[in-house]
Amino acid sequence: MRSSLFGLIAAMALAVTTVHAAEIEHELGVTDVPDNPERIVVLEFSFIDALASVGVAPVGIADDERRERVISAYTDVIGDEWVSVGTRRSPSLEVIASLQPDLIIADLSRHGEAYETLSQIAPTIVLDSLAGDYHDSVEQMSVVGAAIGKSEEMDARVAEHRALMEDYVAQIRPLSEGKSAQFGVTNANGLWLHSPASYNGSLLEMFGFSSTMRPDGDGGVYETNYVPTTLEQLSEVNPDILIFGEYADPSFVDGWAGETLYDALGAVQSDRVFNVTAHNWSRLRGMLAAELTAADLLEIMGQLE
Amino acid sequence: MTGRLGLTYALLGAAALAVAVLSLAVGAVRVPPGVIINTLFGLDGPTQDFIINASRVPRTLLSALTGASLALSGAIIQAILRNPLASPKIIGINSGAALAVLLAAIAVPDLPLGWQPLIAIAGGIAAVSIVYAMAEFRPISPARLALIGIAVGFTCDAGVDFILVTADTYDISAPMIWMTGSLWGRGWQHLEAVWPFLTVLIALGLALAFRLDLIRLGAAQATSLGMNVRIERLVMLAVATLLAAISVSVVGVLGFVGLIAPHIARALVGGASRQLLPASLLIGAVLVMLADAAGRAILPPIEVSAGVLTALFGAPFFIYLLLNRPSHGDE
Repeated sequence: MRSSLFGLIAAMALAVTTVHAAEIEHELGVTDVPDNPERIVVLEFSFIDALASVGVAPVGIADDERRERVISAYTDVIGDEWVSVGTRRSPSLEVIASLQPDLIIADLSRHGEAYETLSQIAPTIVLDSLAGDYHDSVEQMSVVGAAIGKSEEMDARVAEHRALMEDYVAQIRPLSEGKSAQFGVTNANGLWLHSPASYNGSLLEMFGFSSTMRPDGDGGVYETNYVPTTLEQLSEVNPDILIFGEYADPSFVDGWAGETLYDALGAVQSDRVFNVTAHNWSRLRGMLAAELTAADLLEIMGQLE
Repeated sequence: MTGRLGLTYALLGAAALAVAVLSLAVGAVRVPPGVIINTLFGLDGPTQDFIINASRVPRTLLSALTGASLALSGAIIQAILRNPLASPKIIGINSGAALAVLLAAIAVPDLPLGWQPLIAIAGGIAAVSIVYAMAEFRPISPARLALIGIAVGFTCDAGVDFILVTADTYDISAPMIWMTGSLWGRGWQHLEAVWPFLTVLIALGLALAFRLDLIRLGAAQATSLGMNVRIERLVMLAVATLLAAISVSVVGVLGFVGLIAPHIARALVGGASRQLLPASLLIGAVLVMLADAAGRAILPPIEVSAGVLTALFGAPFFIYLLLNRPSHGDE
């Protein structure tokens, strides 16, 4: 009798101690995350965006060993004390382990394979950053907020973000009415258009732009987010507004200047070709990134007037 | 002669041991030797449990095991095909496995991750089966087997290239790393999944070594010595295929090991299979362990795929051996 009473008390004590852990549901299951994790490692840029938006600094970032890829809008909040854990594609598990994290935030397509191994280092949550669109990205903010024990702050920040974006939408929509716009990134070797299924595609759609890219799959779905595109294919798409993010100078697209097909593009004829910061538009995929994108778009629309 | 062979094996064994120790000692994070010893033997004092016990130890064991398997597979295939250019790749294993994995990645994006190795094995076996079935149409000849293998391999490669240029980067980002041959993220669970099979297959391959020497004499000679060439060749091909396909499924396409390890072995211990096979096995293990250790250590925290480095380390040595070998045939 006495021993079972002890057992009961022990069980209750155990229940009290485990109650602190938050159960976070993510792409690959449910993870018990300790209360208010303080040493967080993030393996994609959009997760920095999430942490920065509630003023939390990660101890480790998969920054591709290029610290400048963490833009000043983030470093203003998170400082520059983080340790680089390597590339987003294959971050160093040793370095991650050496940071003794209490939470790891990983990407489904890049790191899903290593989920089990990452979980041996620290509680790991896996979100779909790389393949997700803008709306997915905002939803992931709340998951990160819950995981780091800052749900309230995150909800407030998301609400603020939504209000800000609505404001942008209200300003841009009247100007975008009936216009098609297309974003693409170009390096020295090619051009990749971001389809309506992509992060940027979904943003442009939200701002009221139509897309002239045609779905390539059955049932009107876009089979890929990032479509390699030749000049001939671009002249088929032929949107009213072209927005390029250049990773190289001169870029592949720069080489098209003077080509008959390029000069015949509607956007070129009407002088509606714009350049934006490729990294901010294409790689960050977060909430703050969306706000930067919206501000760029508003500026572009101002130049159309 | 026996003395010299014994010395060679002792040196190879010592090299394997030294590289294994090196592999435990180097990585993106510098762990002092004292801490490594504490962790390995459960002594008091500071430890690095994940880095040593959950990462470096299983990776070292896995790279040794898969390197040995790929090298043994290559040695067997070179003997069966009687061709020094042969390797697991030449009978279509790598290309078949890669195509199957990529097809699965784009056709069923939500496929549980644990399936990828099984699909790779199935792809490798399927490719070799097609090659073998076609080569069997007429009395089998090693040259035809190799040529059909190359043709089937190229067909699979065309499919691989098509998927690489058309598919979404996110669907194929994990398979891409796997295709370069990498031990990134590998741990005990991967070793546990393959070691029983690979160990049995290695034992089987070594046991068959003296039969290989008969096959290398040519089908007519081997038959006259009382061997059922067709059956035995099929059995050995099956062993070699499984060794390579299972290795590839877990560490990816480490293509070069199966080609060069047997050549390095041949230069050291000669062409007799009962010597060549164990030596190839040790050299394969050394090569892949070395490549994986270096890949972790040279550009930290960036991990360089072992597949890239096996070629980088192996190729110059391979060329050196070829240039310094008396040119009397292939043995």
